[in-house]
Amino acid sequence: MKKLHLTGTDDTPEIILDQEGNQFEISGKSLPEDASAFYSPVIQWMKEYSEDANDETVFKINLEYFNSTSAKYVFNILMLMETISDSGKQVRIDWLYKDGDELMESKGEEIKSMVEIPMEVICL
Amino acid sequence: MSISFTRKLYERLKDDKMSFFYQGEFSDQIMMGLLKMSESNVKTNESVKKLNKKVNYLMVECLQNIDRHGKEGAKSKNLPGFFGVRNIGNILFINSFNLIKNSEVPSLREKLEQINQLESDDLKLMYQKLLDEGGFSERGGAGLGLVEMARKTGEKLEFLIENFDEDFSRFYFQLKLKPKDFEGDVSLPMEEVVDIHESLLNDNAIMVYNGDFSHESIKPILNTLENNMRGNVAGPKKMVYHLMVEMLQNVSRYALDDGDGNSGIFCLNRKEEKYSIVTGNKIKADDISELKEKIQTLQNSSPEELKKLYKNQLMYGEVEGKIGAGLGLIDIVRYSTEKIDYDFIPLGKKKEFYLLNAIV
Repeated sequence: MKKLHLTGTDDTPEIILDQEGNQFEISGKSLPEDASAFYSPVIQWMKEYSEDANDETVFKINLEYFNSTSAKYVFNILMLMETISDSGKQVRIDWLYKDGDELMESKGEEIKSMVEIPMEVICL
Repeated sequence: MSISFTRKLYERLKDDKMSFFYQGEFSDQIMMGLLKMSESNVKTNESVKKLNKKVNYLMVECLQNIDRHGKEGAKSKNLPGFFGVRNIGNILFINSFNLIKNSEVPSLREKLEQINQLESDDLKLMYQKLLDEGGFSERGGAGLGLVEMARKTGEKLEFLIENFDEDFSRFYFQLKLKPKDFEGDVSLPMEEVVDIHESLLNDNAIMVYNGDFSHESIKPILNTLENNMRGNVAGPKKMVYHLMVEMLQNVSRYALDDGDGNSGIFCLNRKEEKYSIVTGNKIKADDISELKEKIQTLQNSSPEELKKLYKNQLMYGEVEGKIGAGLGLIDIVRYSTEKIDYDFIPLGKKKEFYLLNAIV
């Protein structure tokens, strides 16, 4: 699949989706005005990827902040990771947060309790 | 009470196209943020857009003066500087307040009175004279700055000096800037500036913004506050930032646009060790009962129930375009460290003003 790379901005995160390089990452801040418009190519890519995923996919989420509309789409990405797992491939989510950032830590723990795939909440 | 403070301010400011006030520290970082905020608002308004360069200059001068001359008083008397910008009928007013040393009052008053007597040609001469005389002491710059302000605005420099105590006096200052070829006039008495300042002082307000809540307009507000909290990635301030994003973006998404471009008001106050955030915006009277029901349900839910509601919305909530999944309001309620407060004020014509207050 063609690599998807979106550079981070003031209010949108950096997105790296690279099947060949086996790198899947969201980092930075996510508070776009129209989360649907921003995330739709990301969701689209993940949907396509889930049909023929790598044997192992580790998705790194290193968000400094995300608003509630972004949350829905981040969650949808994780649901697609579950689909990949259902198809028999290995998956893992690494949720990274800065030491002392209680908000991002608790958001990570909360999402972890909702997904049925391996997920690590890691303090940087 | 934060809601009544916001409501009273809104009553005062609702006919402004835009109003912005800040009270507190004036570090370089904060000043950059304040500049960006005011600039972005000026730039989005067709009628005052061309004034942007002038506005920028005037604000920089004003902010630097507040910092330079007001720093000592702010520190020793715990009475910080204050800065404001108002767009009233497309005339811009830039306000400031700071304490100044009593020893500086006579020369400042003299300079201002002198400048106000001069017409533009004489002002030019005065500027030249001051420039030639050099004397660029740290204080000396203020003479040139004031002359330039008068030249760039083409208006009198309005001010009010009142004694504060044996060491300091209160200095209120106002610049007025009209677009070129502007017909008509608006006057803003100094008493109004004093009233607004005292109101912010009494309620420990850090920031007030009234006007357009488009994404472009609120971005610089969030950036400034984010920078203010940077370095403190730690818990509490991040939570304040989160609630501000959610509350401001809710106004952005749901405020009723009357066509007057002014969609709402935002106030950030200090409440002891915590922050109080209030947003207010117009909504259709028809939408109230649904909103009220949502808020009341959330208010009456335990933390565990709120968590469940959030997870449920996250998993099954519908998202259409810009519209959030109701997640924002759940986060506002569950992360507010005190019970959220809200109010609906009838405005007539099937509209109401919805105010929401969270404390974190």
